[in-house]
Amino acid sequence: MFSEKHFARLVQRTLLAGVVLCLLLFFFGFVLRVLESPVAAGFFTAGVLALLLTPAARVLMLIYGFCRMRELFMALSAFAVLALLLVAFIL
Amino acid sequence: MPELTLINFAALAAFGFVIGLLGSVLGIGGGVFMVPFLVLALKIPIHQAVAVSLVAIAAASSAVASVNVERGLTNMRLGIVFETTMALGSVLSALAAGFMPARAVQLMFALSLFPVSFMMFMKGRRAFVAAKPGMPEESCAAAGRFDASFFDPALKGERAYRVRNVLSGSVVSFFSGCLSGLLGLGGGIVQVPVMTLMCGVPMKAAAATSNFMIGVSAAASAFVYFKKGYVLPELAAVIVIGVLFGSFLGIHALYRARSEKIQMVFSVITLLVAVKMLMKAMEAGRLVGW
Repeated sequence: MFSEKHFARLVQRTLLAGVVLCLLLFFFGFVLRVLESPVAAGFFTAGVLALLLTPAARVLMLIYGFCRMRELFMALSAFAVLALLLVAFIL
Repeated sequence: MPELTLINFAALAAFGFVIGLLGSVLGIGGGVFMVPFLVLALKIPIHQAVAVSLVAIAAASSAVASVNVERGLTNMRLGIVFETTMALGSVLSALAAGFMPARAVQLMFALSLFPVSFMMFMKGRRAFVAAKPGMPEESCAAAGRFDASFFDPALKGERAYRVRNVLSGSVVSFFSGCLSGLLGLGGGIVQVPVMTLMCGVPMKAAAATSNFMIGVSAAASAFVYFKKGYVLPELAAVIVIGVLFGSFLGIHALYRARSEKIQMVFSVITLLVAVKMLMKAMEAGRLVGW
């Protein structure tokens, strides 16, 4: 049974994973920058991208969670947000 | 971009820390303070400053929401419904940005913030005087789709609340999205008063839900700037590190503090933003010969 607690944990872990991934990429970026490696900039860019994709991943989890909880109105709302995010990315 | 010496690194991270702390407690992104700092103190071009600020807002939102969702402070259902109309307004205003009188919008927005600030202060003050610690006021059994409850350590009890005026709130969220697209704001400065004054959501839950929502609009706008090459990843990284540490400390403060106190601080910040926007709009008005 997919409960409210499972749902909150799923969203929480998705957001935390995005933040931790971004921090790791930034950390390696700074280490490589101190070592004057040319790939440092790539790590910073990857970290920023990880941050920008985290809210989209969170919306995906909301769609999944609301579908599992059979709250179709909420799932549709989350889907509309994802569609609008895609439009913003394409523009 | 400024040379990244140890002193610059520490100063930028410290500034990010303060913004993260304020944002996580009050539910606002802090772009309205961050952009002027980057432009005036660091001489960074405006577009790049806005881009870095949006990345920092997305970071703070994800970090804060990751904790608040599990604590039950974030009302995810209300958040996603308001997010829908807010994102729609944001995208439409981005499309219509060239045709809208942005300065007039700024002036109207600044003027409307003054009564909002006053009402937030009065509501917070009334509740602060009336409430006794240990007695969760306005509590009621949660029943509707958007109604929720959370454990409030400041009141030492569960605080349930009923959400009203969701439809009207959605309409205002649409206009808040338009403002964020036109003026480059995260939208928290509108969303928090909408939830507390119109929908009856306690300040703590409103701040947490606003933080949850603004990450989406900030990320969408930031991605547009990213594609145009305006994001300075290294500068963003330093500020984001500060913002994340500030946010995690702010979450603790938000959880422990009294809702009413936070509401009164929010009203002061709203007043500051209103004065700043009014001055900016009038300055621009003089330039175009109003």
